[in-house]
Amino acid sequence: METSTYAIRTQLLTRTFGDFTAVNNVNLAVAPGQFFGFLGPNGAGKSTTIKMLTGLLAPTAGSIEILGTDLRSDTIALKQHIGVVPEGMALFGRLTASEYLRFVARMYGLDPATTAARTTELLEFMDLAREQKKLVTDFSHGMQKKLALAAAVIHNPKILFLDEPFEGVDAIAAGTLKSMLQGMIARGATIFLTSHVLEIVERLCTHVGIIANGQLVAQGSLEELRAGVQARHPNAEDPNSAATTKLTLEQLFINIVGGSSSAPERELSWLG
Amino acid sequence: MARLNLSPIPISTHLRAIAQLRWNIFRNGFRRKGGIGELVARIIFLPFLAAVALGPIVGSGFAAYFLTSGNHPEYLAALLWALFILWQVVSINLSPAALSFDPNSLIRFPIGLGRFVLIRLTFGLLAPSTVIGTLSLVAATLGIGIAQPSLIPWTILTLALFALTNIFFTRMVFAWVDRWLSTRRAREIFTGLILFFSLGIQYLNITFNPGFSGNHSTSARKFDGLLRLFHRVEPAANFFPPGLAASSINSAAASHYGTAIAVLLALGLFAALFLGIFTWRMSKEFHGENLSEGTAPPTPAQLASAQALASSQAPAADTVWSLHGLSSTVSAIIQKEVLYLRRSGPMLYGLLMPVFMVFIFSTRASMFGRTGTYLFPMALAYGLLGVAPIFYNTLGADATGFQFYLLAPIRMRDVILGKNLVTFAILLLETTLIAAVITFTSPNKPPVSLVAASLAWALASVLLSAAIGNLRSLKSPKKVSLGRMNNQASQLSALISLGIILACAALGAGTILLCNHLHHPWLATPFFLALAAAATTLYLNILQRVDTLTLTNRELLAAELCKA
Repeated sequence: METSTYAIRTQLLTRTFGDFTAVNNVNLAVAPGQFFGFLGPNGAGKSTTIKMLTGLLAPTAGSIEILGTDLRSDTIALKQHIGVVPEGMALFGRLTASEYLRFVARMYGLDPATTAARTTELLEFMDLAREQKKLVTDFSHGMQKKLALAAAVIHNPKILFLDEPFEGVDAIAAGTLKSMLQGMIARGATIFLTSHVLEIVERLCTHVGIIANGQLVAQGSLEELRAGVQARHPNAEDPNSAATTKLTLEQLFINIVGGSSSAPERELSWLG
Repeated sequence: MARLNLSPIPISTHLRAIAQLRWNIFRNGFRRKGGIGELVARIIFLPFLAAVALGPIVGSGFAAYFLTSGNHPEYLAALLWALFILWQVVSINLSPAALSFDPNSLIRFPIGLGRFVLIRLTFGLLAPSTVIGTLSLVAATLGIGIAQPSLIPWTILTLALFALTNIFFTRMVFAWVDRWLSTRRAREIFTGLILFFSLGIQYLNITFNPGFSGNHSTSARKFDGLLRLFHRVEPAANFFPPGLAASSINSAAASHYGTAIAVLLALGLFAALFLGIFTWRMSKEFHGENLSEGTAPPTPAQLASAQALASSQAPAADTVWSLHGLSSTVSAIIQKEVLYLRRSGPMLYGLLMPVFMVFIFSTRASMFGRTGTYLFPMALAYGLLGVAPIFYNTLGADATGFQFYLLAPIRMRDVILGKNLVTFAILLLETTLIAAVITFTSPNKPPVSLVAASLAWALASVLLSAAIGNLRSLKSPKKVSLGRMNNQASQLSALISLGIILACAALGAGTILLCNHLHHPWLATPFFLALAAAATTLYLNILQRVDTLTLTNRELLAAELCKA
């Protein structure tokens, strides 16, 4: 595997569905070790992008480099370094949790001893060990999410792609997952995450990309994004004021995407 | 506080909305991907399905006519019992098109219990069992009416009430079955019971159906036995709805209207009882009872027991298959497929059925004096007919898990190979069992040349089916639920699968007969082996293209297999 400045890099990445352009000339750059939050309104192109980055969907145009290697050139070797929790979680419903993890581990080429050890450890870590006999199909949504995450990390990937990883996960489990992800970052892994919960992204992610209508409208660290907003609206906020520097991610997001967090302009007059 | 004096919503509004919803679900069921091919396949299958439905309807009409005109009214009860049983069997085997929502979610709307019960009842009106059962009763009414026109009004009244009783009974049973089967484990046990019941029906069919025996005196003897059994249980059976309906019509025919009315009232009581029990169950659901795996949280004792089990059965102790000569990926896929197979009642049923049928046919060897020699190739073809469809939707049961194959550092070729190897092993096992059954039960042992030719034919047919099946699996996948019957592949794939096996069977039979005619029975074997070699080449060629095909079709595959 080549060494590269970027863990993930796309150039003019485009995907169309008929006449509709879901992702339009996106140039992403994620450095190794970054906790990257990929944000956007519903239907903006987040899931389509993550599907293309993980090989689930073919781009219409543009290129994708993962760890410095073109995704199309050596897909199988690259996949050994990638862990993914996709939108549908990709679980096998008729297996138990331990059967599923052992299956996944073997597909990633882990030896039986490592497979067994990591399976045990992950099931305990995710608090799934007591559900030995239950099939995955009978798990709650939150438990399935935890299992999908366990499966995504069992081979110790260098890059982890997570599509809405905290959706449906309880607060205690979310705390466990966050600390696990931060531990991965501390050990040099790269995490690419999409989430609608901006507080989580703000707390976890060092860098953020925002996509709207298929186009990447902002990318950088939170500080860079704040500086960008200030530059675009020099009269709106005093760049040196404390209030501006404390713009939350939600405020940044709405500012960049073009919405409003309060005093909605449109109303449903008959409601309430 | 705001005043809550909104005017009540008329029931017609709700019923119209429900009718519209049902219609939309029915109509949208046709909006499936697959294009012209799927449509053509459906059109081809339609006459077969219509024949299955028409059989009991036409049969009921004629039976009712002959029983009434031939002065055998005592057997009218038997006919109505048969229709009652058919109603239940069809309900079990042909469930209505899967609803895309839980009907219980309707309780969030402003409806009362009565309206909720009515809506739940009307949801079942388009079920195949109701349609076939009701039309059969209409046909029976016509049959009785033609034989004895004066009975028409009473028959209409009685059989309409009998139809309602059947509808209430079925809905009542299924409402309770839903309650009892709210856990997957219970559903699997129930599926197992249904499978054994189906095997029993097959046994009775072959045992009593003269069409299978060709020996009418034997069948007549058995039929007489069945009639004797019927007469023995008749006194008790007359107190149940089919017997009451028949008794009411017969009493009216004998102008005993007092008895006819009394019996009809008894039938009405049954209908009311079934409706009452159905309503009782509905009221529980209406008041928020949630039927799901997660209804009852585990007790502390259950939790402690589960934790003890978890610590005693650490995953490290689980076996990881490593099959000699196969890669880790293929071994893992094989292990996963075997686990899936073990947990799928319908799949196991599909595999057991041919062996069971061969056993029944073979043990009744006297019935097959003419075909005993060819029982082995016929049994092989029959077994293959049952298993071959697996090749045509090999990814269907993986559902969302399919995405994992795209994400993992593996070749799809290995995945498909692993799945194919499991199916090959199943076929090998089935062939061995069939051979063993025939060896130990049939008096006519097939000659060695025929066994060799049959095996060579089976090899060629299996490889051809696997090759074409793999292509269809990647080009026309269909998400399936392993817990349900009859949902294995797309219509077009099913048609192709059937066509290939039938074509192979015709070629095989023709070749074997020709070689026998030429007094060179051994010639068939090298011919089939040559075909098998060609099929192997085709199979390997397609297997090599699996990764490319998967990449080309990945969006179609993901869209179909990962849909909700």
